[in-house]
Order: sequence, then C-alpha cells, then structure tokens
Amino acid sequence: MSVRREIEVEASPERVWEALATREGRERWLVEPERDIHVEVLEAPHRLVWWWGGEEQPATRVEFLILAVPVGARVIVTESSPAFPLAMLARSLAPVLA
Amino acid sequence: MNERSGTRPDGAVRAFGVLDRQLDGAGHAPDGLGTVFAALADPTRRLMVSELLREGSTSVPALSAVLPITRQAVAKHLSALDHAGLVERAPARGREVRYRLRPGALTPATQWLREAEEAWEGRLARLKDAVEAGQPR
Repeated sequence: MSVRREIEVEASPERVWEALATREGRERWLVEPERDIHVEVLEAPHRLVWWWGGEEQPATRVEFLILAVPVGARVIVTESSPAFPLAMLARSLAPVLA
Repeated sequence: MNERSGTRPDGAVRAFGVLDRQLDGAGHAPDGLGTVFAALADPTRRLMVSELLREGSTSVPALSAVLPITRQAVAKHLSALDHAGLVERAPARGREVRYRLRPGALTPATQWLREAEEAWEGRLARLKDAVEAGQPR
C-alpha cells in the first residue's frame, strides 16, 4: 500500500529535479534531519527513487515522477508503506547468519 | 539530512542499512507496523480483512465460500493475519471456530497512511515555494 500526492510547479522539470536530487536542493524545502536518504534511482530529470528511515520512522520507499506540463512541471510522489516483513526477514536469515 | 555514498553498488542494497537499524537484538521489528503492512500487501488477505470489517466475524468455511481458494489456503492466510496481530479467535458459535479483527490492530496502519498523506501535502507545498522562489525572472 502507498500514499500518492501531486502538485504543479511553475518551473521546468530541470529546476524541480535540482531541488529533489541534490542535497543542497533538498535543504531548501525538506526539513527532516533525522532521516537518512539513500538514493536508489536517478533518471534525470524525470524519475527519482529514494529509501529513507530513521530511529523513529520505519524505512519506506519514495518515488518522484516529474512530468513536463504547460505551466511547468507536475510532481507526483508515491511513498510505499513500510511493508518489509522485518521479523520474517530476520527469521529467514537467522540460519544463514548463525 | 545525511546522505551516504557507500561502496556497495545499488541503493536498494544500501537501503538495508536503514532496515538493519529497525531490528532489535532479537531480530524483531520494534513495532508491528512493517508486519501489519506486509500482511496487508496480499490482495486475498485484504479481501479477508474487508470481509471481517463487514461481517464482524467469520470462519474458514465462510471465507472459502466467498473466495476462490481452498480451505487450506484460507487457513494459511488467516494464520498470516493472526501472526501480524490482525485477527484473533472469536467466541465459538457451536463447534465452528470463528475469527474476528483484533480491536485496534488496524489503527497504526491507517494512522501511518493518514500521516504520510498530510506530510507530503506539506512537503510538496514547500517544494513548490522553494523552486518557484528560486526562479530566474
């Protein structure tokens, strides 16, 4: 399961990309220093995927699609619910790690 | 924000660092949220949960009458839901074993979805402001 939100930005997909894909860009709008971001997919300037999580938040996958539209760019974000069956994963790995 | 550039090749593998930290020493997730969503990731189990929301309680024969799967498969899915803490045995009607949703079991999951939606609403508005403010005129 996942949540999906979108917004239109009056700027080119490239400008949006800068704000999403670079640390300097993210610092201008994303204020959650407790989360580590691990970028998985960089397909400039249209698709970006990162994983993030922290001490308090479960790890989730965030995907951004940036589409060119008449006003500039449409940004569609999808965050997947924390669906990792962590306990199950750990149990299945236990024999290997023991 | 803390971006790491590990030597391991892909982000998915590096992301396991995030996952690792969510396991306690005994290998359990600190809360059942991941387990609950994993259980709900299966469409058959989501149907079973909506059946329970509608009917209050159900049984293996009742579920296998409405789902195109065997009793054995129904029992297996019920056991997965039980394992995730989503269902429990209800007081029996006659000799039939019945199941119901565990009170409050869905709350953390629905709360996560609501909070995530609200959070992205705010983040996207800030993203829009930041990008548009930085536009060359």
